Amino acid sequence: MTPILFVALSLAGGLGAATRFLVDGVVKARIRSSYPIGVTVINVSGSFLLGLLTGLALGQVLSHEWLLVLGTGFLGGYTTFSTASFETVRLLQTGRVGAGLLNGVGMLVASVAVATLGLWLGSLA
Amino acid sequence: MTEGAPDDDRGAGRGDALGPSGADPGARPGQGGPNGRSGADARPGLPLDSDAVENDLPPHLRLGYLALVAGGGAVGTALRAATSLVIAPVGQFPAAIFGINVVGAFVLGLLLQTLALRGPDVGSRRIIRLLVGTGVLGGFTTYSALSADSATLLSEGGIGIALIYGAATVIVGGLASWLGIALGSRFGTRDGGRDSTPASGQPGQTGQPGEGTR
Repeated sequence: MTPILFVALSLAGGLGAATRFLVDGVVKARIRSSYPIGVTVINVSGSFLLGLLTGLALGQVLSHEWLLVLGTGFLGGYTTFSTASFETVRLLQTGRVGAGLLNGVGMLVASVAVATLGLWLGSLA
Repeated sequence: MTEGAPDDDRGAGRGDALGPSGADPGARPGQGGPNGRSGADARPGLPLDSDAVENDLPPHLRLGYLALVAGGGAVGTALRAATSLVIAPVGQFPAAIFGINVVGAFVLGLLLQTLALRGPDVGSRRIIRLLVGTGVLGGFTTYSALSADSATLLSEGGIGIALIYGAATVIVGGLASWLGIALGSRFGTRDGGRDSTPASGQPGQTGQPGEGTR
């Protein structure tokens, strides 16, 4: 990886993180729920997009460099595991077992499903 | 100043613990004041230091906070990319992302619990949370690589390894979060916890006992 690519990828990750902060805030302002819906929306949407980009890259529609900047950088910074895991544990600790399992296992299943869909759609291009 | 304040008067209670991710407790429904719904109308020209003006905005629309998260996120992403270059996959198993997510989950649990026990989410505590928690650790850990790699493994017939990868990440990551929270409870409540983990900040400095999360 060239230094310029590394820097571009990192900056894209910063942009992705700021987008996550923004999207999470907007979602929470609009959806009244104590369930951590914001991170779910972020991780599921980001998973679909990365699947799509990966499919496009496999079909040579997208270059490897752009996959790194947009995928590893932007979408990698946009989606997050640490907060999702923290919130799962918090839900379990406060006795909300169903919500905790949904946030832990449900988010993973949904994310892998939409990533698979994106991968397939991208490979059609 | 009147309606903008709600994010500042929420303590470190349960609501805070559940909403550490990207946003602030104040961005929650019913507290957003006039800016809650029309959030998209950020005033883009605001200078970073116009706190008096920006206090009317929910946190996720304040340029200063966005910049903190972006800066931290760039650092976290760089650390993730560098780690991925150094740690090779073990067979088909994406060991780098697995390790990154587990370590990040541990550190975030430690950080958020320590901060929450030291006092309300205002001032320097909020800055640290947004810069290090939402920014660095949020950018360091990732979910899209987990799901896209799993999807790729599945499409290549590696159902077993995909299941192991997903289950191991969620379970070990959850245990890491839990361990971080547990350690954070010690640091937050005892003066200068004996284990001097670097991430615990200034061990000698005692915060307020704080309104505990438990």
